[in-house]
Amino acid sequence: MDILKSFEQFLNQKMEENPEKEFTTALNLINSSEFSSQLTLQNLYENLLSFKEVKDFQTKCGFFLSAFFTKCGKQETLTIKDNFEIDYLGSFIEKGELKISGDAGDFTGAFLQGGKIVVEGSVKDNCGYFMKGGKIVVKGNASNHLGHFMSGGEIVVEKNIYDFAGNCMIGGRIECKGNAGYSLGYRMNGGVIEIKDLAWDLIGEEMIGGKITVKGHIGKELCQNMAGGIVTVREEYKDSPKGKTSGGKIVFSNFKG
Amino acid sequence: MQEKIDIAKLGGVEEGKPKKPRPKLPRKEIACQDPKERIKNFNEVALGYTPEEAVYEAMRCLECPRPRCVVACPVHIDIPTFVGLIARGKFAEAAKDIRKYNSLPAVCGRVCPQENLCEAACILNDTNPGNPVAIGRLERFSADYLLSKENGNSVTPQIIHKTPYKVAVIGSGPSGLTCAAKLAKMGHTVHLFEALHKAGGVMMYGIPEFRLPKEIVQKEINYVKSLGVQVETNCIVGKTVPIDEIMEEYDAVYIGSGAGFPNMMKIPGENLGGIYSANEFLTRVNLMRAYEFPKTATPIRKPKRGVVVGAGFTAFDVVRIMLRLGAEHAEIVYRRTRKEMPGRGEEIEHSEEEGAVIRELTNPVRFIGDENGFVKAVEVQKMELGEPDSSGRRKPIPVPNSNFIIETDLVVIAIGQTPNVLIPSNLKGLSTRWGSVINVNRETYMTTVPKVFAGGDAITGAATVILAIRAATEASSAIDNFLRDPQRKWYPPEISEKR
Repeated sequence: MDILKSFEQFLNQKMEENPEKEFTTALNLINSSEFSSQLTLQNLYENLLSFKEVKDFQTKCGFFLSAFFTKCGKQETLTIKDNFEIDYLGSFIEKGELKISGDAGDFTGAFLQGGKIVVEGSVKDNCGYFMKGGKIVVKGNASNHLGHFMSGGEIVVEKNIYDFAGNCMIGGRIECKGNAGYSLGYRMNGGVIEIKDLAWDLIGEEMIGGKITVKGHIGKELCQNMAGGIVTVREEYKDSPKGKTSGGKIVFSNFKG
Repeated sequence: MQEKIDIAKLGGVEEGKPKKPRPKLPRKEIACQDPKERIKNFNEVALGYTPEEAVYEAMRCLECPRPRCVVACPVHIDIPTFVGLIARGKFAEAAKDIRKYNSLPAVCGRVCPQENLCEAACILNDTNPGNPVAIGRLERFSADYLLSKENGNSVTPQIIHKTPYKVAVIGSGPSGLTCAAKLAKMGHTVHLFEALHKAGGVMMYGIPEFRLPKEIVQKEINYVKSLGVQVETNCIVGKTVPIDEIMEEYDAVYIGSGAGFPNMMKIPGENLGGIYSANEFLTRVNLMRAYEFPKTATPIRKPKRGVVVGAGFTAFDVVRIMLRLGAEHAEIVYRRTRKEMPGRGEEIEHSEEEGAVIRELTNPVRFIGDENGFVKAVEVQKMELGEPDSSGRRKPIPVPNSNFIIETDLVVIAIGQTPNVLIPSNLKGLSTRWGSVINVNRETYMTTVPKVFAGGDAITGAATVILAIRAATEASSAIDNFLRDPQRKWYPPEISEKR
């Protein structure tokens, strides 16, 4: 079956509750499809855009492209057209390098196992969702819930991250070269978050484990209801009001050396 | 509609030329009515920027590549972009850009505590503390400009895909209006239910005319209506319309009923005449325009010596209204110090300019009545500060044998509000804490009742307009995801009494 016909079939199928099943379905369809060995991820994406108006296209297209990359891709560049953001781009991939030129949608690099994703623009919510390994580099901003439930791998954001980054994170590393929004590391259980500049209110709220370092200014209610883990902030906040904690440690550092 | 703006004359950035920011210039102060004049009227105190002033202030912004202000804004408005548009003379475009993130910019430009949020994070504070870009005033300027140009005929964004789903939004305050507007933009059919005779919630009944003109609120409501939202006023969900009927008719329900139930002090004499809750006092004045009585139907007691208990936003609004009603002396009684006051710095300053007196470290212990059952005095006790409590503020401790009397003929209790119990008590299975604050899943805004979401003050207790807008924005995405999910999966909150 032609690969576009396979995508049409995939698009017409009812959306699976489990993203892994959705990805597996896409991968099986690609494995049973016929296409030229010259077909690149970009060509496929541009062809798929003809289905843009169909319901669930944004999500299904992301799974299909990720499955195609898993099967054929080693090093590919995908240029996003018309600012139409695709969800689940680079999800479940295990190796290779995927470069996304433009902005990516929700769940970019979700369930990532290995390899590298570089997003030239910004990503929307839940980038690196349930990620286990590999690396995601975002040159722009990352919206809410970055690295939600991530257990391994690394995310580097060159600009800002918004709220709930590292939410329920178990392992891995998040580095932000700019600023972070509210509720950084909310209910975090493991792993490392490093913010080069400011992080706003509610850092480490209900945190159980892991390590957060904020090198710039901080907002209010630091470590509210914290039960474990380590939060390091500037020395100048030593005497400012903190949240109520039942465990864990707040370290004050001058970040020299 | 587009008016030609001579940006070179205003000192801004001309088309095609790069911006040369001027961060070392002092922050442009906003023109205000003279205190002696303004206590005689209910007109807006802050008069807003002129185009020249707005461009001057916008030119101070560095347009940082990694803007801190954006992360500190609860709804993450792209501040450098809209400020940059103002610097380039594109005032209407600036407001349209804000509307992508916040449906009520003219309101937030006036009442949002920017000094603790975006302006506190501004990088200009690092080199020149207390001199950040006046983001709130610029937001207000651009929003007012757009509203004046729209003149009631707002250009509605094109709604591409209309869905078959219907959503009921209960409450038309900042949270309800935002959620309704966002859902309408997503293509859903939205019905908004309001208990009072005018939509707007706390913006109509709670915030006085001199801080937030009702005409501005009405224009913002008209914009939301122009998106296709149907507003039904005089409709108390749970009384006028049974909740079961709503649950049957709609695919999802959003509760944004706010926090309209006043906290009282529970001390002797609180039932005397002349003692109001802040809610009642403000509703009479703001919504029913009692200050124009007998031209309007609702009366209000006009004080000679007024006392307000509390020092939040509401308390400062009340004390300023007392002065406008003709009080010779009006004072705030607060149990902590000025440093711990939750009220905005600007409001405290304006109140004092108008003649309000702030009595710190003092707490009422009983109210004393006259022979007719009206309050004539309040007995107060001196306090001192102890260790910080769970709110991070130092706890007030009574000083023994320090009681004294303050004479008064009007007392207003402004020590916070909680959500009304009407909806929680009528909706079976809805989990609440502290009696009426609705428990939700913090990520999905889902309650314990399937297809019922909640946000704003109804889930936090009384907070700020911008936090209500933030909750509504996030909840609207969650509602949209829920409606489009074929399984309609429900993620209720983990019930915990500690928050």
